[in-house]
Amino acid sequence: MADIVTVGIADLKTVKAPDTLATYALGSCVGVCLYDKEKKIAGLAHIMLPWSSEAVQNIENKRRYADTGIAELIDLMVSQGASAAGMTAKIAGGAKMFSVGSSVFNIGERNIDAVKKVLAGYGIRITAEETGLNFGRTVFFHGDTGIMEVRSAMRETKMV
Amino acid sequence: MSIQSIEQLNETHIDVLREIGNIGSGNAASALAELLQCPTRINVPSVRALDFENAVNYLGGPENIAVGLLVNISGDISGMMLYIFQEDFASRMTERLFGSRIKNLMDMSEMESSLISEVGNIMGASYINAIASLAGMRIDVSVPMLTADMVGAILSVPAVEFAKVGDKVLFIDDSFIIDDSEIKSNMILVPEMRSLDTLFGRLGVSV
Amino acid sequence: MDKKILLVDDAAFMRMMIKDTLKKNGYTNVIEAADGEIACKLYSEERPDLVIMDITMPNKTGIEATRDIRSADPDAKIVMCSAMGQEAMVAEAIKLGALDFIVKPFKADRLIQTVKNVLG
Repeated sequence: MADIVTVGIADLKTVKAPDTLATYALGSCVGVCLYDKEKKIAGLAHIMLPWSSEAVQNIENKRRYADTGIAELIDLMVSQGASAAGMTAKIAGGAKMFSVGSSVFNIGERNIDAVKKVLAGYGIRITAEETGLNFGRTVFFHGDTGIMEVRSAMRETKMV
Repeated sequence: MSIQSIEQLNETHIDVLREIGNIGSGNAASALAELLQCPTRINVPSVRALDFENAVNYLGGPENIAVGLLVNISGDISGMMLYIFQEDFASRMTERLFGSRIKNLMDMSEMESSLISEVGNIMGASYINAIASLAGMRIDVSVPMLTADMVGAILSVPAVEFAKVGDKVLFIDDSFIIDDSEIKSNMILVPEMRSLDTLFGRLGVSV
Repeated sequence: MDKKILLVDDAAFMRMMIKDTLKKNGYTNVIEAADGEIACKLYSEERPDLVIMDITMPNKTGIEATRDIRSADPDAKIVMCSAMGQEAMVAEAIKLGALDFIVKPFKADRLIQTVKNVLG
């Protein structure tokens, strides 16, 4: 029997096949799904903000940020036997929930941009992406197949 | 000393905010009564500091579909105000004014969404005007921005803002009684911390 | 009663409500603008007898539009109609030449009384 492991906002988790990771209602946040196909180890980080260096005060939660969150997820997966060189990534979210120009509301775009830069820095290839636009997304990341299932209200579910 | 995060607010601070909430909600109730052309009463609103996950769960869980109405605040104090209207609330409004409930929250007509925006605008102004007149301030608000989607996704917008200053958000629970039945609305206030200092300073509350 | 009224509000619903109230009281010549910028343009083209002006609007706020319209036509008759009934805001609007300030939401009588007062 496969379990579904939920990842909260600004949190990260890993599972092994046949379990599934889930994170609900991504808005401007980005869900980063990492997968080691050989070991069938899956990881998911729910990223809230782009760079830890932009934090105003001491950050207790490094998982909020693209740079520190992804680094921690990779470390965790490696400690469980995954190989960083063998990982691929799928990402979802980074929407602009309210349509107005100011920078605060473009945080989704900045999150996507930071996630891509960080992944590129680790040499991890992005093989699927369901990002941007203006709606929320729930992500299920299947540990047995590495398929990312993206659900939105009033839209068709994507399996990528 | 100055306030760095919502967690640092003590009972006195929350009490002041609750009183502002009382006056604001009272004004909002009279505004709603006028708009809906029917008697509207309000129960004492609750003002709490909640973390993100509790706020989302309180609003029906991350995937619950609701209307979010976001207003930016600037002037003597600044920050962001987010109204969450559940389907029942939104439909009660359209029922009173157009005679029909909303069929699909995510596919509202222009009239429906402009009504909900205006309700939020007027209720939001009731709070803002209450703060402005109590503290002798001038506060401007932006044009309200409206969306209908998963509550978790809507709340990610203020969440990103308050993540910079803490894990909690000011959560105001309003319960109105219209036509003898209760409807609820929720407001999330994300003040800039400097603004809270200014506000308490003007009101003579030590921080 | 063929006085022309320019109704400025970004909310379609609010325009509908105000227009209905005006119509019921014999003011049928009503033109509409959805923001301050359109309001300025329409004002110079149409020269309405009265402008009913919201404040919080996209592109150009009602305060800015009032200032611009009044500087182009010092005789322009403008009444503010906004939820932002703060003292400072009312004072600013009046200083810019607005004749009255109706706080939203309002009773139909209040609106009609104001319109009558201004249009004579």
